[in-house]
Amino acid sequence: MKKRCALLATCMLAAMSLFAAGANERTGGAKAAPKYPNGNFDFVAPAGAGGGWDLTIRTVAKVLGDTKLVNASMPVRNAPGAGGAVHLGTLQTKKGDDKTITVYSPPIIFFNLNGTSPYGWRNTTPLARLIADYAAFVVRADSPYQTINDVMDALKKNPKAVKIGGTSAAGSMDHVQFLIVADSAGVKNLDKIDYVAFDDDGATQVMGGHIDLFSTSLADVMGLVQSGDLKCLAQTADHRVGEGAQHDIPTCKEEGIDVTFQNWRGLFGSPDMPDYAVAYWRDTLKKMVQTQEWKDMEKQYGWDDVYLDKPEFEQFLVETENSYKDILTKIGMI
Amino acid sequence: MYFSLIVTAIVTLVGVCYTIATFLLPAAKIGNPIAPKVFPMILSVSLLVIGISLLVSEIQKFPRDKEGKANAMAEFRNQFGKAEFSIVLTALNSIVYALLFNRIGYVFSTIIFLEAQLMVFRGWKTWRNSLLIAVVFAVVVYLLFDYGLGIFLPASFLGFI
Amino acid sequence: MGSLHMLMHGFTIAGQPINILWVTIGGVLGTIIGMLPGLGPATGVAVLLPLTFTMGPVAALITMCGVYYGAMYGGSRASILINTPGDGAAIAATFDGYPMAMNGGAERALAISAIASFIGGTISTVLIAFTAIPVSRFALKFGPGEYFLLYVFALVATAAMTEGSMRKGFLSMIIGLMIATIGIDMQSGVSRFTFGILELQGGIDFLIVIIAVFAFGEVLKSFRSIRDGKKQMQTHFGRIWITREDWRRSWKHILRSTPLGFFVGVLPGAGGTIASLMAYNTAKQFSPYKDEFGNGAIEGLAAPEAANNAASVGALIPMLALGVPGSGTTAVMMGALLMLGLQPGPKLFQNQGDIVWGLIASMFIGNIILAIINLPLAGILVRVLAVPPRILYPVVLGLTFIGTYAIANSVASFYLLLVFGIAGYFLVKADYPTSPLVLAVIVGNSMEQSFRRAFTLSNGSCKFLVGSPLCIVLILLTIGSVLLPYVQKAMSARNKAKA
Repeated sequence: MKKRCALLATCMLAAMSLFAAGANERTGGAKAAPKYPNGNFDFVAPAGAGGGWDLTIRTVAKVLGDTKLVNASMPVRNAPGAGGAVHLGTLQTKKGDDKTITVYSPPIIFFNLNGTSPYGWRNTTPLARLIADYAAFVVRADSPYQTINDVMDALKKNPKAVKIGGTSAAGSMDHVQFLIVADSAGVKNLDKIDYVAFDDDGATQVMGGHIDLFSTSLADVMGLVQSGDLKCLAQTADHRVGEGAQHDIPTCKEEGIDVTFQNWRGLFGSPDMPDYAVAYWRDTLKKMVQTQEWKDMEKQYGWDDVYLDKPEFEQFLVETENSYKDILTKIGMI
Repeated sequence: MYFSLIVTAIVTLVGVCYTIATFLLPAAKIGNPIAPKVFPMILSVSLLVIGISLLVSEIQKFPRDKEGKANAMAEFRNQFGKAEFSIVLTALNSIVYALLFNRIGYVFSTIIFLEAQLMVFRGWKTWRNSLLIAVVFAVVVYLLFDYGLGIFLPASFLGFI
Repeated sequence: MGSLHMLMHGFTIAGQPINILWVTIGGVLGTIIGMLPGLGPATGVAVLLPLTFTMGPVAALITMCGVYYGAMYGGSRASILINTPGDGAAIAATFDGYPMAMNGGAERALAISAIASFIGGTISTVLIAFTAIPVSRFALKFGPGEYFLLYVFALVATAAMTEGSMRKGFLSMIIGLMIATIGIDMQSGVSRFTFGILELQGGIDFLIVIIAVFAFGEVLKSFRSIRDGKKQMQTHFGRIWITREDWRRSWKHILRSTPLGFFVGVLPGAGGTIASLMAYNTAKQFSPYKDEFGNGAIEGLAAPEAANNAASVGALIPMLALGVPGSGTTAVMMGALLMLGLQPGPKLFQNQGDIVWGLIASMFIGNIILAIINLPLAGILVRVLAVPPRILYPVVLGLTFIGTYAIANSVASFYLLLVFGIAGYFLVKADYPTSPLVLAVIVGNSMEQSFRRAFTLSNGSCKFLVGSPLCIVLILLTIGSVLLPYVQKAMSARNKAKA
């Protein structure tokens, strides 16, 4: 019996020490405002820790906490699965909830259009578009393709000539962003182009020469581009972005392909989020994007500020959805 | 012996179901349309081949004489006793747990679950001691996860626990 | 010379008392988190993520390292004492660690696990300091074809090595592979075997299968063993240390497993699970005490433990040298680096030498400190065996449920746990080995996807199977692992005939 007590005591001690560690995170958010927000928010990154969505929502939580714009604690939770589709399904069980805030980007439209999920952005409450990253097409430094047009010319001759890799499933972002550019460049037989989906190690695969071109987002490969291991042929913004090596990357437009693709990220609430909560978040996010703290973080991660309030954001979602639909129809996904 | 045969038969049956499901898979809209089916098909065929060959050799190993048959049968019966009844109870208890979990919150559903499970193991006489263990476990885990790890467990109607 | 000088500099950073304190705190926290089923190093590091905002970059990374190591120690503690691996890499520790604990050798098991982890971790830290860049370049040779063959090798070797009927081993493996095909197929976007259930679209998390088959299955098994009086609680505890004989049997295996674990760990995605299983298989093949494996052979615990820790160090290489996370844990650590304003990649070594070398030095220090705190900690933890089984097993059951909830955040996982737990129990009863099943669930998806990638990249032919010298080596190893049991049998038969 004594031994059991000792064990129990160790457990309690362990629990308490963790409690103390956790308490750190919570200070600053203890006092809830009288009506809303009341209690903790539930911030969800619908992917594993360490990815783009995770980074975005954690940064939002940090800035809102640091600037005291939100006086409630905003713990971030990861709910990965099927490129975000699993969490969107879970969200449907929380209709009318005022606590859940989550982040999504183009895949929320793609996985709905390509049939992966029966739900799309209409099954959420869009709150605001915040930031954008851009597509980047990278090759090995010694690749035979030294401009984006070299790639397109080769594909025009033989759609199997260039092997494209990415880290989202076929028919989702990394795949489609390349096809949008190829389409604008006049490549036919888009459905014949080989696309290979990797879990998370696409950069090593292009460095090792296993694939010819890696379609990804600009922020993900800058380390290898700066070191000269990889060459970024083009990015899809309508202007040069960042500084240094990043600034040297030409846009598709400069290369004569008249197209842009934005990897936007926005915040969404549960479906049927109550009006008071929607009003609160629209107001809070409008204030947040004007703070110096937020601007500093954007600069640090190389994000473009593309803030749009709810009405414009919804308009934008409708428009982008139509343009994605065109390209998915062309390759036979829909 | 009979037991192993039954399990192998079930495994083979699962293989048959999997094979049928493989045939029903939709064709891929991009790339080679049968590509998503190839690997499952290889698995189906290998499972059926190995499973059936194992079934055959297990049947061949069956005792032919009366005594051997009786022994094998006794061994088979011995597989189902009080311990297996406890497994059924555990399964039922787990299902009740899953049903209650979101409805009445982590702490209360766990107290009920653990109390019941301790009774399955220890009998009902020690229920008071079991209840103590169940309450301490549920509360400690709840505090640890909610406050320490930031993994939020469903709270009860009381709100704070 | 450059590296050595930089490493010394790193030690002056990591050796500051405050940083040593951080490693210690991180190590203890990590051990506790790692002991909970379903919570492994990745969760442990993620929990700490918010804290890193308030610390400096060096302190943050050092604490994370402590948690990383601590969680791995904790995972093996739970594997040995209650047959509950916290993540894939700790599975191999259950094979012989748990039987050792059941046979009254818990103290020796915990000690050898700490010693093997310490040696494996320390040697790999030396390796990372001097070989990070060249090794990261070598790992680039692994394309989809090589990955596919690596997975095949690990699977086939495990299925072929299992005791009893080889056909049952392969059946078990195939079932595991079938489970792994559930979910969205990345190459085509098609949902497979999900039957319209949204929770299944992301696939079945292998951690749930691990917890079900090992921990849940063990609880179900305990009904009978308690009734038969086979499960006794341990009342006397000895010192946490090993005997001279244990060391004689283990040291070679530890030294062999360390480089193996290190290099497998470097490969993104393959990681600790494969490393520890390959180490276990190799130890079994080389050991003169082959019959004891599975019943508490000490080298069967020492080898995977050394490989496991070595792999965890190796996994840092792609993150530091290429900026590509190789595992869930390193993905979180990379997220932390980004949040701290650092850009992981080849330039990190040049631009942020302080941080990289401070990190490497702190891994070294973390290893020592964890070995030191884990010996007394093990002395406390081992007393879990003094809890009467009739109380311990229900509590373990409660832990399995909370663990699966933490993984999937959904009650649907409870039903999965139940189904796989009962299925695993019946398979074991019918003499089916379950480790091929579990391993297949872990690597199955990557294996199929690698095959499909390779197939597409070689324009729809299977030429990639012999596409590089690495492929051919892996094929030969696979064939060898199937034939080896037969060859050994024939050899021993001939020896007997001679004698």
